[in-house]
Amino acid sequence: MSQAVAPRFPPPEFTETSHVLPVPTAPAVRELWFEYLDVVVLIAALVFVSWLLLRRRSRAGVVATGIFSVLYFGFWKKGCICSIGSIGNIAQALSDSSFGVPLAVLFFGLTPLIFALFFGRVFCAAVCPHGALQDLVLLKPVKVPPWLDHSLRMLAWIYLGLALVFAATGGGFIICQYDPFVPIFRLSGNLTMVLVGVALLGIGVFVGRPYCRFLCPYGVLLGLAASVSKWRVRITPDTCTQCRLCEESCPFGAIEKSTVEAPARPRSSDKRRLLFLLVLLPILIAVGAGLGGVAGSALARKHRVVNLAERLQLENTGVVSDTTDASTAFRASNQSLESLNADARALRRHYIMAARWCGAWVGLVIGLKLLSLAVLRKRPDYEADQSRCLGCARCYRDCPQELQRLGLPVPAPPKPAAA
Amino acid sequence: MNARNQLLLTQGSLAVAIASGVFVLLMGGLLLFSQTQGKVAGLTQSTQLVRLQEELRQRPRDESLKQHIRQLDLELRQKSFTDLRLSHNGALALIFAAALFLASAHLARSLRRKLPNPLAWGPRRPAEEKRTSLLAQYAVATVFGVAAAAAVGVSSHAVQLPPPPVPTPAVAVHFPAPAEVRDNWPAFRGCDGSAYREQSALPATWNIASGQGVRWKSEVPLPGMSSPIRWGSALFLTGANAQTNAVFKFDAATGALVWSAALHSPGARMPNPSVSEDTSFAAPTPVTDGQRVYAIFANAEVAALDFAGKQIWCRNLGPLDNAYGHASSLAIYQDRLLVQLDQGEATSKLLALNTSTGQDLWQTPRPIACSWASPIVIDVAGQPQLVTCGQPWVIGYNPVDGSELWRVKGLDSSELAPSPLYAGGKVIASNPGTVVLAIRPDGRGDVTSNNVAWKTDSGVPSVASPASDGKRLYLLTGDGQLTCLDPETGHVKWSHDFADEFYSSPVIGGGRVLIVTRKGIAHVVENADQFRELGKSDLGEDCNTTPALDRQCLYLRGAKHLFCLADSAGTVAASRPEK
Repeated sequence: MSQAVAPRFPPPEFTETSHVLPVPTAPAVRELWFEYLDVVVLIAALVFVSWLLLRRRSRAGVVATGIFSVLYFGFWKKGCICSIGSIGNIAQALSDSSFGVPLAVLFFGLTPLIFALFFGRVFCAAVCPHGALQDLVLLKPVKVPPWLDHSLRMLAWIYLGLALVFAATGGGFIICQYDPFVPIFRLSGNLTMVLVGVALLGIGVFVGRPYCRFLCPYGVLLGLAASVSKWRVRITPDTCTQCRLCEESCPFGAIEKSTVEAPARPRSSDKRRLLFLLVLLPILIAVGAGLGGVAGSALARKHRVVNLAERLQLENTGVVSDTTDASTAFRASNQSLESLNADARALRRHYIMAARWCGAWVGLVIGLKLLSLAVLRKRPDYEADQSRCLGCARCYRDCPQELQRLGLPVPAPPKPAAA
Repeated sequence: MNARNQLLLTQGSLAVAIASGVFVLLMGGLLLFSQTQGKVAGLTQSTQLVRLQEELRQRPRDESLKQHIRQLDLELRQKSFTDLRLSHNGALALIFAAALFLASAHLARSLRRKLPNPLAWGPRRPAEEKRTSLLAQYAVATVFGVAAAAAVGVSSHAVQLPPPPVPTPAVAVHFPAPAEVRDNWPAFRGCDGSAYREQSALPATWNIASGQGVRWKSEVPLPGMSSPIRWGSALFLTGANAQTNAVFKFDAATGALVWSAALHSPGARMPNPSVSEDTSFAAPTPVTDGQRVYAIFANAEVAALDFAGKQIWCRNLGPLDNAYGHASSLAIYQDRLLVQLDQGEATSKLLALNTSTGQDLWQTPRPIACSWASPIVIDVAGQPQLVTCGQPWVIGYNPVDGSELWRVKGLDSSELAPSPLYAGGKVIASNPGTVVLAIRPDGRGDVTSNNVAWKTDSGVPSVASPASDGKRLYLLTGDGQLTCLDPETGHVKWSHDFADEFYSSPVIGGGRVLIVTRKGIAHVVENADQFRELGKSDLGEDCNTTPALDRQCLYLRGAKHLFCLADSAGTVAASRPEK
């Protein structure tokens, strides 16, 4: 395979010396069988974590696997191929028949989703290096207020919509471009993204897995798949005694409280609110679609053709006085400005259409989220929300039933403070 | 583990955590500092090296300076790689320290872990839970509001792209017959670029002050170096300033300005490039096919207008990067408007636009430096050819599809303004200051070694294009040397020095040749094998354009006016017998 390699530094300008310039070299392309090995390791890790989480109920095993994933999928594989980023490849392949997806990428994209359908988010538990890395830095969890938690989680849905728009329209794989942890795994990269990754890890010392919960677009898909999973994380191995010991044990706010002992909520206005939200849902979808259409032209700027056409227009109309490498190269290429503009206009139309869908999607998920918050579901036990549970296994050790199962001493319940 | 050991382990792990944590913070800060200070960028950002290299460009033989640069270059390279290595090792140390910090911190935390106390949380309060639920709904709705505001916000920064060219209804294609074309003056230097009209009453003298020989004189609304063209009773001219590109139609009989049409470019008007005073924003001469008039300007705006002044289409081919400003005039072949855009070897090209819609029919890149010559369409053995001049090639193309037919190397001037000419079966191409080539326009590929029929260094023009009636070839140098040659052999018949500056190209009307100095002094000489001056007149204003000839008169653009000049007797000079 031929490779274009740019030297790190310009070669010396002196030509009269006898020094022979070395030919620039590049690292060899990774052997194909390594990719298949990665797929095998991925599947093995998913199976192993599923067993650890659902059968063995081992927090230590999950942590150990997480460390392995950080080392193997993170530092060794440099964070690529990555299931999160595979969304872009698959979306582009679905929209552009000329774009092929390597088999390994397809496996990385689909296998965790299939596992989530059966076992919940076992990928997030310890196989995803991004999640595992954040899990390892979580030292002193603070509880994110539920209102903030619910609203911030919507960012991941919006991010997913935008990522699909850009991937399907040739605007690039923004999930990969703005991956905050890959530069850390590679020990090099864009300084801004390195700083964003470090900042997320810094926040992650106190806020459990901020990227996974509030930004990860793949987590959205995994959450959807996990919400119908047959086998799931259960806090207690036996019967929930409503002791409330696990109530604050989840650093990710994924534990839903039991409704058995909860006092009845005043229900006077609930039905009216529900009705209002049902009416609001199609309005949100329509407004979202309209706003998406409005933003479509601006989003199209992410595409290099549109970006170049706009840049040339700014230069040609005197709005900007300097030039860019791309505009200079275009002028030197002898291509027609008009045909570039025609291409840009066509791309903008695609973007506007895709952005409308994205806006409708945002309206839909926001509307459904509002509905889900307004509906009171009955739960006999304290349980992990299937779509939000990241499978860290922290809650197991807070359950007295689990301690009993393991043969560990069950601490005496604290006494109520004297009045 | 007893309590004492547990305490010791807890304190030990805390101490390790604190120490490694401090190391992580220090190392992280150091790495960030070195990155933001560009310490690992090294060589490419060394101002000292750039300064020394600039000095070397001024003193290329300074060996000590070269040694100094070599030494500095080596040191910078070594330092860059050292910094890179340090940075990489620092990052590794940071990661190991962070791992140690996390391990010890987790250990300390697990040793100090206490079971939660639900009793301290108090009983669950339904009103609070409902308020939390409501608050979450408002927060989620706020996210939608923020997303909506962001969508509106980003849309306000969208750049308006030029709208697509408006498709125009198809017009029945009518190509004028050759005789009809010959009877008019539809392009720069006439119907075929020879600057010759067989039947023409080219006046020998006129007098602007007394009005003798002046049929009319009309003011031109906007300046320009373009020359007039004529079709029937319509005279077309272009003019431009920094804000407006315009086409003018004058009545050929009366000189009245029939209409003035400013072009309306789709989208924002492209700003004018900087041009020299000798070029102006309207240097290229328009062209007409008898149905529409086509014009191009310095900012690459090209347009078609019908004879009523209605804009049919307008588009921009730019931006153009031309040292003096775009000056190449348009040519036409059937439904193809031919545009020569020589802007430099990487960007020069030839375009054929559909005369009805303005859309590209073909584009051909040209290996040509910047040039100011105009293309001509000639008929070679019944086949059309589009001939162009530009440094270093004279190239013949097929105007139907833009394919190259032949090329001849020999134009090494970087300031190539004279246009080619087809006379006596040969393409005459001028290389300013050096040589004039006569080329047989046949063969395929590079025919430099075979098709150059003759060369001459006599009377080589620098700006003015040659003229020929097929029997005699006239060359006019920039400093006033008018040379008459035999186009068959290149032999000089006569030469006369007018000792004045000329940009305007000579024209031949019947038995007379007209040349006009930059100061507007017109000389008429006999179109004969011996030099004889027939008259000399003053236009009264500067002139850098080429006249358009009519049967009974000629049209000439001065710096401010358009003149119609005629022989007072109104005789048709062509009727005079050849000597």
